[in-house]
Amino acid sequence: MMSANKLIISAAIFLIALFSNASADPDTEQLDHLAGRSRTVYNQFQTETLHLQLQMELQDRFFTTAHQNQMAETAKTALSDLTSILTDQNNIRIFIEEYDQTDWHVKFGETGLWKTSVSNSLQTQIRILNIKFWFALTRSIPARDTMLTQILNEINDLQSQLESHNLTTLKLSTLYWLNTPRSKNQLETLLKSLLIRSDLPHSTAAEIQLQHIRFRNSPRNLAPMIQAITESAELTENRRLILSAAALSCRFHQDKSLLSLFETAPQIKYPLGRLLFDKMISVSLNQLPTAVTPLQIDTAVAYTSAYPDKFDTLIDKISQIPRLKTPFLLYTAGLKQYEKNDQQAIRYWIDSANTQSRTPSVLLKFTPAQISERALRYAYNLAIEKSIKVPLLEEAFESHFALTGQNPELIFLYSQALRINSQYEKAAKLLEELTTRSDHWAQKAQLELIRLQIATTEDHSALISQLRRLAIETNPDTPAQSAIRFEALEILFKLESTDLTSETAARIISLVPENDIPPSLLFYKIAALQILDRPDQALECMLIILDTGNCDHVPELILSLDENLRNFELTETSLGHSGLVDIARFCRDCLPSPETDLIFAEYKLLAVSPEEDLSSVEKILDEYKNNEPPSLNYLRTKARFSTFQGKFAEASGLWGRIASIYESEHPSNSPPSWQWWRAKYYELENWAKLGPDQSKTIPHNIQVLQHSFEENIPHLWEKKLISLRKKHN
Amino acid sequence: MAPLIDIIFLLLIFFLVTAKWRPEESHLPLKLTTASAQTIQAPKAIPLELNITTTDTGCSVNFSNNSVTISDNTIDKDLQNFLESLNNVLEKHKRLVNDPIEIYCDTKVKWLYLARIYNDLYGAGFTDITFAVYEK
Repeated sequence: MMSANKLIISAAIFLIALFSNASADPDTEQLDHLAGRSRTVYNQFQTETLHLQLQMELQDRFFTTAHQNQMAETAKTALSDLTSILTDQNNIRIFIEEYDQTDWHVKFGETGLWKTSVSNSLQTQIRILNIKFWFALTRSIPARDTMLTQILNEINDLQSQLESHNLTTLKLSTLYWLNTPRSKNQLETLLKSLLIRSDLPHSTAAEIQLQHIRFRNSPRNLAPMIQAITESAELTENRRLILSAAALSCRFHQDKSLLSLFETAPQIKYPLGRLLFDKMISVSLNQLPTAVTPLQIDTAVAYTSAYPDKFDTLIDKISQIPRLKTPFLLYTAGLKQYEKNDQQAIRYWIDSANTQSRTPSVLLKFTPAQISERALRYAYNLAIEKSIKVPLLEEAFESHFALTGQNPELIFLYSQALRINSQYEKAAKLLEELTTRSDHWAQKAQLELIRLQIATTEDHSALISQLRRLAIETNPDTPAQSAIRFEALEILFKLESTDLTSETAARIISLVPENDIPPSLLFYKIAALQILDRPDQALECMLIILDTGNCDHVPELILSLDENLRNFELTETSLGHSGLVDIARFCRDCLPSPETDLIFAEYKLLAVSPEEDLSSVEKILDEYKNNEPPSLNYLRTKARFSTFQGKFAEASGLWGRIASIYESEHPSNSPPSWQWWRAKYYELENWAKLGPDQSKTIPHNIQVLQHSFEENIPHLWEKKLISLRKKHN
Repeated sequence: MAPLIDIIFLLLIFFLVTAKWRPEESHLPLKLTTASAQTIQAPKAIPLELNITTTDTGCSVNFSNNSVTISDNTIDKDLQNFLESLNNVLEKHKRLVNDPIEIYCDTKVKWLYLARIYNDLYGAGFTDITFAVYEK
């Protein structure tokens, strides 16, 4: 029993000793964790203060006190973190170095832990020195010099232990900023010794070269240096180096070098734009013209285009010095302004186009003509919408013509905008200039002039002759002239159709082209054919439109169908009827409505053979029977259906009602419309079908009609009435 | 002091004596037409429209491109002329006296003229005379 207790206690002691021993020994994971933290803190500092570091490289000062304080605060935080990490790293290093057991070599020698711990500590120390350097720059003299001297001593100490290129460049910077008589000599000596060394890595050598240019203030060497950087694949990968080179180019106003860096590493535009924006905002108005170049302004514009507030601040400042307004700035201002103030935006674009033609912005990828065309397009749309913007359109056109020369298409568009805004005289003047040309624009201008005169004159007879001549003179085989011809014919037919008589209808038909007639002209032909009582040909034209399957023309087709009913009863062939039913069905499918339903039903009734099923018609009539007041289309269809069903008294009553509606609609001193005559005829015809007793009054009624209206009875209906009278005499 | 029953009887006799009995209503001499929605009337000849408008001295009757002026001073003679012109038009239109006549009358025309024209038309044998109703 006793021995078992001893055994348990011994085992417990062994385990405790084992674990306590294990926790005391540092391992790779612990070292890597601290090294990782050190790296993260330093990288974070570099990222957060990049634009502040670049400020110093650009101008040897922080732009504002706020920037200076920001650097100090960030550096303090980073220093505190890194010092804590360094303490932990040093503790581990000391532990390893003071370990005096026989297994030291196994634990820390072969594993490389000791070497790693020393290296990690040194790296953290170098990082701390770097951050201390930036912190020192936020202090004023003499505190700054004291700190820099201390940094320099620490660098020297470290350099005795290891050779670090980072320390070398840091030493150069420290000496540059150290304000002692010896420091300048030391800087010169160090620079000389470094510049002749050929064993340095490319990036370190390039960094030293850039510092050399900055310290010596010798921009002459910058261009070849930047060329060397842009030609080296290794150096162009080093973003920090490229940014330093770009800041130096800005410092010496070397736009060409800056541009070559942009081409090599376009991504630097953003941080550099931020830097230049901060600079432009921090300097006074007097200093601004000498502080920045046009390319630098454009770089700031490219950065601020993503920040509306910053862009407004920038443009507010630059607007006070007109010669600093670059084309890129003006163009971007136009884009930003368009939603708020469209007129101002167009003015910006006009200015941008003009400036771009004189001093082009490299970052603006548009030609003066393209920018001016944009201004013109927007100004044109505005002028069409609001006449108050016409002066702006004139400005845009004048500017565009000055840049690109006269263009007939644009002159034509300009005249159209003026016409829409009732500036007829100006528009006519422009068009008259165009009529002297030898190409199709002359005819297009003639047509537009006619349009103008239509809007301004009452008597159109002279214009009708001009249009006819224009239509004949244009060549139908040339696409441009053919379009003008169709346009001229459309206007001509529209004018002729205001008083469509047999004579004007015949003239329309003589001018309509034989083939490839656009639907807009075809409808005029249909109307003319209907006037000339040629329903079969009108139907042929309507079937051409039906073949296109285009629903856009349904409203015109409905009108043609309605007009066609005027002399429908003359078309006795079933082919004609079924064609019209097809058109009516097409209209109904394209544009379902009570009107198209009833038109279809009516045509179906007119085309029907006695044995045909008319349930579809009955269904349509049932659907609309309760609509009050009933439409004329409904009454007419219902009346035709009643006739079809043999309900002649009801049909007669319905036609009588239709006649009274037409009678109430037309002026009392004008002759009744053809629709009234149709209703009257069917009223009497249906009544006559009731039988001999009922039909005996019909001849007298027709006689009164004939003698009351004499020559004002439409020919078709007079013929039908006479025939009905003779039948029941 | 009179008993209550005497007072009640006295009041009853008073009301019986002073009461005025309602006389029996006689029949109104009015014959209302009966409406029939189903009946469809035979088509009539189109009505001849007479338009009566006011003038400074009387009124003017217009019909089928004819115009007759009726003045205060010569009303009888003018109405005679009107009937003659009307007969000519009827003859020209082949109308019969039982064909409808529709009167459109200006609101400013004096009632006297309208009544005389109507009476003369009725007297001449026209039975189907209607007044057009205007919508305001």
